[in-house]
Amino acid sequence: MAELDRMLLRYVEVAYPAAEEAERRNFEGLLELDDNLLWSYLIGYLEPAEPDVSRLTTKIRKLASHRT
Amino acid sequence: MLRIEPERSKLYRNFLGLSALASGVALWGAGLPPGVKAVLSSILGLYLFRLGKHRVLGARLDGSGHWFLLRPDGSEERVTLGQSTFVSDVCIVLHLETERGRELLPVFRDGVDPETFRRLRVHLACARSEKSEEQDRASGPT
Repeated sequence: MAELDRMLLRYVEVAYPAAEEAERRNFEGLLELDDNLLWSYLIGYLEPAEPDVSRLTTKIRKLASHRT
Repeated sequence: MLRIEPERSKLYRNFLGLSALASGVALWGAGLPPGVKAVLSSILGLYLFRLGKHRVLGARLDGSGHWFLLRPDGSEERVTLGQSTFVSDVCIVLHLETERGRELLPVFRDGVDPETFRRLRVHLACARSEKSEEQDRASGPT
């Protein structure tokens, strides 16, 4: 899923360097998810149960939409 | 945790074939004496044969960010990821530093499942970002 790659790499490029340790751990947790679930979170079709992870997915989505 | 065990890749075979062809054409068109051409061709052939052989089965990244080399005999060896690791959309070449030297693990997009390729790419991008952060800290404020 090329769009998924682009969204994740965009986050790593722009936001990861300034991210707190907890956010980095949450991001690594997201990488463990299967593609379909991760994609559903990132496009906002589903919302992660944990508020911190939900904030992170929203951030990734916003970063991706700012690029285009 | 991420486990990478690349399988046979059509892209890798094509890459090796084209490299061999291009090197062969360059070598035989170089105007060298026939004996030298033959020796160099043999060396090239051996090099490509060695490149095509799998001395490394794969690699594993554990939850603490440590890399391990997986050997065909089932053994594992703790390694460090070299900064010269190459990453592109189609291929990643992991440069893994062992105690005895460097091992290269080419991972082509069609040699692993898409999720593994994506995870590896993103993990490497994160590692690169962390490394450059460490270097910035080490160099200190100017």
